[in-house]
Amino acid sequence: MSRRKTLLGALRALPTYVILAGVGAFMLVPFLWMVTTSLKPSGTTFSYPPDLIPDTFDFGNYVNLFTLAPFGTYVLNSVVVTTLTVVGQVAFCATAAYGFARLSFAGSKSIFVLFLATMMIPFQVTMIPLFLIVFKLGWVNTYQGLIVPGISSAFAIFLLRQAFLTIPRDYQDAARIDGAGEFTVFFRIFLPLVKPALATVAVFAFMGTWNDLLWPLLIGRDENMRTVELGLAYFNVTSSAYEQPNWPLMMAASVVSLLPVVVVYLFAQRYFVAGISLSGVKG
Amino acid sequence: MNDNDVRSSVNRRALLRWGLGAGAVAAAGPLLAACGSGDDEATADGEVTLKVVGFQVPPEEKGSELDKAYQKFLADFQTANPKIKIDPIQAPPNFDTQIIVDLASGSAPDLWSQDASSLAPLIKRNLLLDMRKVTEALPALTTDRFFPQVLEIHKGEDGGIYGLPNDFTPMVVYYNPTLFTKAGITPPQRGWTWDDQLAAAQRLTLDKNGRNRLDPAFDEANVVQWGYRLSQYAYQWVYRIWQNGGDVVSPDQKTATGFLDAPAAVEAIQWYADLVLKHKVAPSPSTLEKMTNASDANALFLDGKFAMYDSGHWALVGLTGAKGYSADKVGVVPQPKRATEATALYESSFVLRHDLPKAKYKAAAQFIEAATNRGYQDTKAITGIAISANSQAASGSLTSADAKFAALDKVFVDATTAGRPPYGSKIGVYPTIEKALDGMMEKILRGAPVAGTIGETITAINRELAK
Amino acid sequence: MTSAVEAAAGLDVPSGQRPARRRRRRRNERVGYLFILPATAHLVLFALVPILFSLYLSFHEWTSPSFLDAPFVGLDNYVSLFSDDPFWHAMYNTAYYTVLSVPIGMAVSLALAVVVNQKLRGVNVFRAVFFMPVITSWVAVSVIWITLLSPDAGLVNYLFRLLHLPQQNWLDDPHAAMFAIVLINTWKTAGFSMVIWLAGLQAVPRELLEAASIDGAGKWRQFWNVTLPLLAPTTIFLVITGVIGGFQVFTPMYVITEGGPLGATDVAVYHIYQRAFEEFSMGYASAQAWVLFAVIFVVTLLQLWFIRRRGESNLI
Repeated sequence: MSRRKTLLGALRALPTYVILAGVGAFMLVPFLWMVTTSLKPSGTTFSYPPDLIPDTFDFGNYVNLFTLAPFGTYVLNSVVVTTLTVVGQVAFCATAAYGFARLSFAGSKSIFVLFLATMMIPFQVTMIPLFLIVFKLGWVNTYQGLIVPGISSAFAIFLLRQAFLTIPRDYQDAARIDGAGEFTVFFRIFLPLVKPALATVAVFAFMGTWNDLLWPLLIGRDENMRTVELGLAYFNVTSSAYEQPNWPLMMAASVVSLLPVVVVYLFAQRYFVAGISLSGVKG
Repeated sequence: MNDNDVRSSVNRRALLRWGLGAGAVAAAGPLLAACGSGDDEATADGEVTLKVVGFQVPPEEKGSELDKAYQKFLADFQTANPKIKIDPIQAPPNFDTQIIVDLASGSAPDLWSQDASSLAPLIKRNLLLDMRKVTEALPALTTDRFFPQVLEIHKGEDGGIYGLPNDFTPMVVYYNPTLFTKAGITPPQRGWTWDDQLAAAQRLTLDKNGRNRLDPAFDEANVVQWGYRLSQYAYQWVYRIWQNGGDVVSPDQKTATGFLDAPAAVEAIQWYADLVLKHKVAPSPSTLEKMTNASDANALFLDGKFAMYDSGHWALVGLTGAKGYSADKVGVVPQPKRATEATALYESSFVLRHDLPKAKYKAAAQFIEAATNRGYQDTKAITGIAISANSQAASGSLTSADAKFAALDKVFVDATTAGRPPYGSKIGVYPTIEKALDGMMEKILRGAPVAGTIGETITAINRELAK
Repeated sequence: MTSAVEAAAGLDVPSGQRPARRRRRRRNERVGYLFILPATAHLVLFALVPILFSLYLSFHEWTSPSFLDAPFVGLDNYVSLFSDDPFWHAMYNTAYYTVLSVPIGMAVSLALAVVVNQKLRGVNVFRAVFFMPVITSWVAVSVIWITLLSPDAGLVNYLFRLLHLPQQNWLDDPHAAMFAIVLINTWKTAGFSMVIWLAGLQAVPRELLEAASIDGAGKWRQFWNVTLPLLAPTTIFLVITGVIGGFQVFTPMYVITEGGPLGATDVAVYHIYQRAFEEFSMGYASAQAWVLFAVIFVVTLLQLWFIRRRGESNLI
């Protein structure tokens, strides 16, 4: 009986699966392309129609990436920078977002609009002044130079603020009546309720920091201060500006820098789901 | 500046700029120490450190001929000049962006390689040191070692010399000799004319039945071989205007009126566009895009899909590495002649930051002297990267047994006498003007009226020049 | 994380333990400032100061070696900008792109989120797969899409042929190029918005949906009348950040079309970037950026005004 029910359920879900599989295949093609291109011999050019699966797999690009540069140092730097940035962003942005969403104080709205406004100026024109500040602080070639400018984000504050806004007011009041301080209310009650949003912020912060090339390029001048993304980019620098990019090597580098992000995403995904049971929001 | 970057083939120009292909070297030493604040002036015993971007290959090219040439040069220099410490830095990805940020914040390296086509914005802001100050410190660093046409690239309006040449290339015409032979046409020689080029292109444009463009029964729908491949990008055609005795802007760089719309320029633009529009001996940009989507541009040329195209010396690197390469398929010839056989020179040079401490002048001069004299410059022909800007090295390599492309290199050297500095080395706002010129040619090739389109472009250019 | 949060808010703990109702409001104020202090201090130093510097720079032009001593040119940059047709053309393209990409992107990502929010075996795998394009580098994305959109041999035109739709010269046709970019961008970023929608969907109380179901509402009615209104904070977030992001679109044009063909995909930030880093006209580029800012700011205020008028001011 129960088996039949499962079967019936599976049948009913079949159209959904077909759609999911179709969209999924579409989404995966470029990824497959990256991986297979990275397994072609270094320097291979593209052919048309695309040669999706090469006849032989060549791991030479990966061997080169791992043996020709201090890859361990790059990984260590990326892990330190990314971890601290993610932790910082979650801490800075969650507290600020809670302040904007649940505490009333004079100028709250104006300050929040100011935060929003900083998202409206393209980085291209603030990059040099920002570098000047970090440079004057003596932070070029340091971890703090790589980390500190990124430990807060208006985008994340906005996202978390919206998440806090969905929580009914009663929670705050009930806790206060119980004599809990504002920080306790925030930390023990509200934070667990927005776990899915926190996980989202953490993943985006991780992705943004791990994949960033431009800022590490300006700050990480010494070889021992390079991140994975920057270290790999040095491989793609051809000695003559007129040469063609080495696609297979580039793709291998992309795959290598991508894998940690995939792993983190798969890990954090648990929390997106866990959000259901933990949120405890009941009507 | 890669002419394989016909836009579709993955936008190589964009990617190069994006830092996935540009040239250069890693910050081996703290760049900040070189921050012009005088903290790194010569020490008491006269020892100086020079931060130099270049002379380092990317990791996967370790052990290549270029790497060996760099290593040997640096080692020899160190032996000869024990008091000058060279700190070589691999050029980073996105070097163009990094150097601007560094110059703006006063943290630039002492010396780096600069592309001539983006030299003017630096000169106009006085961000580069006048080399005359440095040559004063070391008379042995003579400027007559360079091709005068190439040195001309670095002359500022104030008479200063901003940077000294390293290597360069004139724009020449690449052709496939086997296709010429098959069609019974004598391969082009220096001194050939626009008419010769058009006539050859007509006979080299073939349909699937082997009929050429001059045959009344030519099948337009099934072209299998094109006589010429042109491009909407100005760096590949702007010298056609010079060849016809015209110019894009006035010599004082104040206006394009009376220049870009003068008969000489209009006629050249029309002639070039007519290769696609009227004579149909070259694929239109969209047809070309379809072709390059299907195959790499180098492979297409070697496969005989088109018989001629304009490029610089760098194309040899791509061609020799492409599928189907054999030496008999690649020939080069200087630009065809109209009033002149003028061509553009694209070059890479050594430049110094404007705030280089005086104590480093002599060391910098010694380094540049060593990097531009025959010993090191002779390796250019061996690695086949570009033509040496040292005229003796360039000519000397033509007879060297080690030279990679001796016969072809001679054509490049010959073409240099008619070479002119690229606009990008003279006009500060040229990046915007170049975009307007690219767009103008693209519009015309898509059928927009020539006079009107030139008029619009002049308005846009004059706006920029007026700033 | 714990220690950082505690350190940031630590000052609050002792006072928070005193229940002093009369002074609640005042205390609340002080606590509020404490909560936003770290992020605000960071904002001032690492965002506001550089931004204000770019405002300063927009009245100057970098013509001398010293960047900080760029000579004052008054309103020249702004005046000059008004007759800069290519810039306004780029602004128009930017608006066009935003109007096109924001609704399409939101609809597609919401549909994906709803599908993967179902309790299905293996749905986590699909969520991860849909997120793949988000984490794939733009370089790889440009390579694959340029091939996919190839006029003759590309997969997209092949599908069009099967469906008897007219073939498109996607990236080379000035009329089609922006659509192609929107398509690519939607594909690349839908997973990003999907995750945010998903976080919102997870917070919709199941009881409410069940109650609606008992009242006889079908799936569609449930979604329309219960789920969507509850998603308002998420919707607002995605619209506002989507519009801000749309007006600042840069990378797809940078790696795929270089603003072409015929300037059809030349957008504001790409335009600004070229002025700043190819021509080094930092002052002029800053002035352009501030005009762009003014436009985005006004558009955002209009959205906030609209939301408030709809009586959802508590959400903003």
